[in-house]
Amino acid sequence: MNQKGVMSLVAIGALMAAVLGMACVEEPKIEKINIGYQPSSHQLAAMIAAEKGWWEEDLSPYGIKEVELHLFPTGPPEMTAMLAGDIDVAYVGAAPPIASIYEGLDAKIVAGVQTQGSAIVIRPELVEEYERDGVLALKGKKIATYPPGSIQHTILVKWLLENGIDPGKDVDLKAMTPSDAASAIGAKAVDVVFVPSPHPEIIEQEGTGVIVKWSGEIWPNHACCCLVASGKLIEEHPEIVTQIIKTHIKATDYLKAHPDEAAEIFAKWQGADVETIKYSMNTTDAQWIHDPHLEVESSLEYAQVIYEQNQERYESKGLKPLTEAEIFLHRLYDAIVH
Amino acid sequence: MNHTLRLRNVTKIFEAENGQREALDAINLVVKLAEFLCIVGPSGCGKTTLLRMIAGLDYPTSGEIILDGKQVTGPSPDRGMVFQEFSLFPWKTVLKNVEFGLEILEVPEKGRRRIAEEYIELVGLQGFEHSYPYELSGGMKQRVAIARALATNPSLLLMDEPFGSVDAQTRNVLQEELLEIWARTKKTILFVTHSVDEAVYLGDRILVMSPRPGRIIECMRVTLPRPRKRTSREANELRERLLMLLGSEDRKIHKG
Amino acid sequence: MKLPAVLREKGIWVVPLLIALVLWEIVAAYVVRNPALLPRFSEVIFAFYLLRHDIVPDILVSLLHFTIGLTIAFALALPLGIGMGWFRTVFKAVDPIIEILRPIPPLAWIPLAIVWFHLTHYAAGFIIFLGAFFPILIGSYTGFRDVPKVLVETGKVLGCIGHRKMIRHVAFPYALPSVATSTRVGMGVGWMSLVAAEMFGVSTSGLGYRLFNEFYYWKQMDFVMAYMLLLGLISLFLDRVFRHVVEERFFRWKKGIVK
Repeated sequence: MNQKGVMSLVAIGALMAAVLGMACVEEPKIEKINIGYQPSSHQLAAMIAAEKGWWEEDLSPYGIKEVELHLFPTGPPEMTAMLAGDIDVAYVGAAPPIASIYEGLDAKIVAGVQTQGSAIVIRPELVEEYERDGVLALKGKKIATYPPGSIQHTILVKWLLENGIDPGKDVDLKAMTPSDAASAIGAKAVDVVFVPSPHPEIIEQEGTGVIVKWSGEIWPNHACCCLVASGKLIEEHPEIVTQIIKTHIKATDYLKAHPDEAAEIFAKWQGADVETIKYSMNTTDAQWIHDPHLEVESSLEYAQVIYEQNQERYESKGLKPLTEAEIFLHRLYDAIVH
Repeated sequence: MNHTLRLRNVTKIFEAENGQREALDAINLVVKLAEFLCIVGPSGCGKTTLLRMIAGLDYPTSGEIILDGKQVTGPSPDRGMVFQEFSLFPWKTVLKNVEFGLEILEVPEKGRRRIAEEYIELVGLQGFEHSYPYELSGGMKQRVAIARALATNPSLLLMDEPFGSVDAQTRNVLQEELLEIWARTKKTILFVTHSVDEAVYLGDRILVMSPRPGRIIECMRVTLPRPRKRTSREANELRERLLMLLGSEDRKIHKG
Repeated sequence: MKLPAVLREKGIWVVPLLIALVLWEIVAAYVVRNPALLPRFSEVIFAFYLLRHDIVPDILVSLLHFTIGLTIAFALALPLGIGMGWFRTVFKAVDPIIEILRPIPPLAWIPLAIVWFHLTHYAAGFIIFLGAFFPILIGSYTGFRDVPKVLVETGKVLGCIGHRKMIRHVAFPYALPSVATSTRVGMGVGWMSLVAAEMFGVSTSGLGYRLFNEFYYWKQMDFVMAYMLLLGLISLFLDRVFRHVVEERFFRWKKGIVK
């Protein structure tokens, strides 16, 4: 074997050793928790607990020195971060984690956060058409909503299909962040927007759109946001996950008892107008909850809709529509409440 | 028509950053029909500048250049020019290169093809019509350049050291061929060269120029019968004479 | 170890490629074990089969964006390049503006593209136009600027008088290889810009769009990599075809000089 041959084999060998080595390194003891959340009033519990310092206060007995919140515009990128291990816990709609679990994400829904709370907003000029034709008025329109795999996208697709509208051919669906969607409808670049509170209310206050339907009217009591924990955290530190759920329950109860203060915290954190947010808290059909069992039925439906959207792919991998046990882990919540 | 070229008191001054440079000083010259006129001189004496002004590529600062009773004001295919090298259009075949001047004159396709083929044969390159310049040797390229310049039937053929870039052997061959072409076409040729040998072999008259600013020092008649022997006694004497002339001019500068 | 001589001469590139693919498969399957982080090579190949309904329509839409952008870039860059290369004054006047705009990455223009053209095919075409325009412009004006003096003067003494005639008969044929090569470069840059333009939602279909607005959100990384491969292969294909059809055929003479 000549020199070059030996050198290349050594190089390949070193490369493999490095890669294998990286996979085998032990994780150090956990001192920091990363929580993902979105700029929606659905996830006020996360912001309130952070504002009041409850995260760090409640978790320090478990050796946690720092809790950092990470903002994501919508659910799917948040799940990418979770897949990469950048966040351990996520406040996110129920659909993105389901979509990611199909793709191999190791995580479970451990608590509920809220149901309903999104709205269809239409450009003022088109409201008359909507009042006349209902959902069929959406045919041929440009609709901005959250990306594929999100609650909004999933509900919208289901609603369109139920009314005989092909989401791929009969409408022009555009995936956007909430701020881009608000700009787009303001610039008349899109006709319809379907996003979670408080964005529909903000758009309405600006006069660039009119709320015509709440998601609770499309699908009563549909699950929206939930609390997701990584499989790793659940397995290695169930006590931390339990405490996180407890803090979440505390924050949720606080939020329901003090809606105005909650609005102020949201306005402060996201740079929004306080009065608009207070208006939103009164108008939205969102229901803040913490019991994961309340989200099971609609989540299983999401799992079915998402499965159908990717049927050939999942079938080729031998996957079936997800079951409750594959999505939810109720045991920790149940232990707290009973 | 009396194709006479007349230069009257032609002077050329170049503007440079550090002042003016006088290139040619009061050149007076008459070129006769069908004459082979050689111009020799040291580098920088302005012989190329002179040729370019006759071609119309440059213009005199004062004085006149008159061809056939009319002043020369710009380039024209009536005054064909052969440059030293790299003048063939590399994207055109030999045939298309030679046809170029005719194409610009809007001669119809069949006609210009026939003319071009004639001149290609004249310079001895039949069979190479569809070759590209990059496939040709240096000597062949210059033959094409000559054919191309002749194709538009110019009154005057101006040649600026056309054989300066080829090897000695090829140079001699090309000189002989040029004389044959001259005999056949009876063109008036102005031939600028560095080489005393070449001037003696080719010219009816030899203009000797001084170093800058260029003046005509002497106008030598060469009455040697053609075809000439390069090494005949008379040829040698002429060469010696020329070299002396050029050498003394050279010494003048270096002493001065 | 000595590879057989035939392999060494003609197919030496196969060896590192095979090693890389095998390594990829092993690392993905046994080390990373997370298809969302690193899909296996075999999964990526299978993805082409799963995506068979979407691939052709997506390619066609992307090629449409690409063609729009490239055609407009060429149509604008060539005349401007002729002006800048042939006329010194034009160059001096326009070059500073060009040199300020040129370094701005096409992607940075996306917000403006969205505002000016909304979310239509024209916005995507605009970004591609920006990518292709500058290389073609520079190649063009370089070609026209570098026409050798002896050729210009030869043209003149053969009766080619005036800018129009000179450009048509002498400058343009001389500059053509430079224009062609820079167009090929422009095509490459334009294609890269296309993916980014489509990613940002300026269209509703196409390779870049589907990659970023579907596969990424669904976290279907094997689909992502399949489309990545496709993008690279198409670019390679366009480049080679252009080279073969345009450069090899028409510019043998340039090779002759350079060689």
